[in-house]
Amino acid sequence: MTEYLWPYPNEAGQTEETSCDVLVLGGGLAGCFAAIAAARRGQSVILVEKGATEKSGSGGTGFDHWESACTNPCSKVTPEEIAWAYVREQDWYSNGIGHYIECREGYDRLLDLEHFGGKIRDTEDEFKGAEFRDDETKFMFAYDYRNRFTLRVWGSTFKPALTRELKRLGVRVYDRTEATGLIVSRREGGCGGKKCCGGAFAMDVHTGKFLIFRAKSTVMCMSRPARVWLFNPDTVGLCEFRPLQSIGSGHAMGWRAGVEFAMMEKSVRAEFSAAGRSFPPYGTGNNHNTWYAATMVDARGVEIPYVDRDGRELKTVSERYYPAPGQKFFLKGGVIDNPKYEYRGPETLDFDELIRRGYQLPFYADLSRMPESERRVIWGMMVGEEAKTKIPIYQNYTDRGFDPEKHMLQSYGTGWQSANFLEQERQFFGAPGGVMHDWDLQTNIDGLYVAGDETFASDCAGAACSTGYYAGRKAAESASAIDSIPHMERSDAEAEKKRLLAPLYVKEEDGISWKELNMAVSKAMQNYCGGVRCEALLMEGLDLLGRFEQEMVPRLYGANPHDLMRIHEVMDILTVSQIVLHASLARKCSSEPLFFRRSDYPEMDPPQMRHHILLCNQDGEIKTRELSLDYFGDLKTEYERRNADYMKEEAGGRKEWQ
Amino acid sequence: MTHENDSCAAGLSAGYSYRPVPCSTRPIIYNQSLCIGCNRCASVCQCDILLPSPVKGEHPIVAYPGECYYCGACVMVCPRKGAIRLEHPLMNQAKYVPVIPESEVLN
Repeated sequence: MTEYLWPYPNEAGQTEETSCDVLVLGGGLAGCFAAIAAARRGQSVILVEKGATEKSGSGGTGFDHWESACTNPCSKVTPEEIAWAYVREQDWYSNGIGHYIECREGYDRLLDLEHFGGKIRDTEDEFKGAEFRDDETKFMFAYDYRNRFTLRVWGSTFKPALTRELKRLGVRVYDRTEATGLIVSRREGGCGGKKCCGGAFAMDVHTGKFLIFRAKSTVMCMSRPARVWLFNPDTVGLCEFRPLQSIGSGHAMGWRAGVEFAMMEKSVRAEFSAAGRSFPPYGTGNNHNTWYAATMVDARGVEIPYVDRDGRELKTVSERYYPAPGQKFFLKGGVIDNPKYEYRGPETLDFDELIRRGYQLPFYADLSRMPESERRVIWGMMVGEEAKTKIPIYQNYTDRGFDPEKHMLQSYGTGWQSANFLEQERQFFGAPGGVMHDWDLQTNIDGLYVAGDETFASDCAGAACSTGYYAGRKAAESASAIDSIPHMERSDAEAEKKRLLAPLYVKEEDGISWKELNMAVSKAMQNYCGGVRCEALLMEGLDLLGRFEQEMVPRLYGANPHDLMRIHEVMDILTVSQIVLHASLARKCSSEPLFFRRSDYPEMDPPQMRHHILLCNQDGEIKTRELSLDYFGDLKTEYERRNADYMKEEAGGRKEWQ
Repeated sequence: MTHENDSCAAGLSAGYSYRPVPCSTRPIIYNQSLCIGCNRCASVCQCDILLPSPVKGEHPIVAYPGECYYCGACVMVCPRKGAIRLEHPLMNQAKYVPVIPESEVLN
């Protein structure tokens, strides 16, 4: 087979060491905002991104709606109402702090984005007079048209705007650089005896150069884990919902450093894997999320009724966007799947009921029966601005001849996901586990902060931007309060460099590929940590993954830095899988809100087990502790105690930044 | 500061290499007559699946087609309309049919 020369320089063996006040790991929405917050406060900031910041992360090519912007001028709900609703909807296995920050500061971040050149209003009057538009502010709303706290936005403009702003503020952006390990100081005294973070190790994924970023404080804004149960070695990029390289390296490096985790036992039956059982997200007929509330018809063209929470059939399209009689507001969005009665919005009739009534598969989304503005806002704005839809869905379908006035788009399977996954095919979706943090978004390690998908029970884009900015300003405050960068052991750097480059020295004929290991891990997780778990199975899983770690990881081989990056990812996937196994062992009950079933502890949510089980790895030993689900206290009180300066100087866009 | 070839990787003598990775799909297809070889697509791809062509002015090599996440960033930043096409594999092409006018629906 032909071999080509690698187009980038070979810098394996070289080391670059640099320092800053605040280091941000991950250049998605959360990371960009963390860096901006710190830079605005006069801190020197480095941002490390594995891809290219201009279009990277889950919102890299767009997102179409921004949830919980409760302080926008048209909103009829308070931040308290919506944040507490999320907490209750999620049975308190919920990140109250993250939700409240989003509800309280999300709108401020939208104004920031507009200031940077992003589009948040219908400035061209394309939808003038539409029911979902406020003609004075030109804001456009989704879901609940009465309460107006979810905005339709032109998210494809956001990452380029954020990237320009980073540059303008002098943030040093290291693209094509994977963060691989945290620098943790164990020195007594320096951090009061507690562990503290002094930056991170990284590798240039084009050249193999090793990088040491030393910092007074660090914000981890990396992805949630992925490819733990779902893997396809042929179309790897389609395995999961989020970007291929977003696989939870932050979780893995955090675990190695002793960071504490919550809710890692939670996973749901998979919803998206276009490598096999499902279709490209938002690319089939459906009526959820981006497509809410599309008109659905059955195979005969008979319209499928929408009902409110009381089962009352809705007669008009407009009624699909309003709360039921006696209901103040309803919840819909990325982490809201099957809401409680209190928060349930309009929905098409339950599938089983439809079949009982004689509706026939396949179903279709038929936008031709909707008012013109609703049709145009779903197909053309929402499908177009939502991540991964502008080119592969909107443009390609249009090129193929799809016209929403003339055609209806097929729905597959039996539900809106257009997929039928097996119980053991699982995914981190709907507010999955992650790093535990306090009201400063600081972890159990001093100087280490988290935001976005790095936090436990994270939400969508609006939450990423809001928590990113919040963590960035807290990290800046902490960095400005200390004189020197925490200590780093040289031997830690040497060991990390050796670990990263090791696969270059393995001969192909003696080795295994990263794909083979990823396949083995996902099969092991389906077998030993699937829909129903028990102690013996989980122990088998740990045993097998332990053997992979001992025997197979040293045999991984790669021929260039791109291979190394994929190898490091799979090593991290292996680590994340081990966290999930440990977390599953630690919870000795079954749980509805965690989608967690144990055959040896079948009782669902016994009262004595209704708490977080926090997990961390202390130098190889697994430590657990319990934490009350309401540990965050009263959201408004606790927030206001800690953010008086922000409220006075910045909230509502009152500060003019230079 | 940069330390040249310090202790741990000194043994690496051979250069990096790349071999085409077989894949059942072709996510990205270039139109050579339109592409100006500016490599904007390669510079923006977050999965880093494109390598700049060894021949100046030619389109990048789709080095890792299976790792495409189908986000469309490459097409969005391309300065020459039509020079690059991104399309989901055949299995993911959802079907659409003409609408059934409400007047023709049998209840």
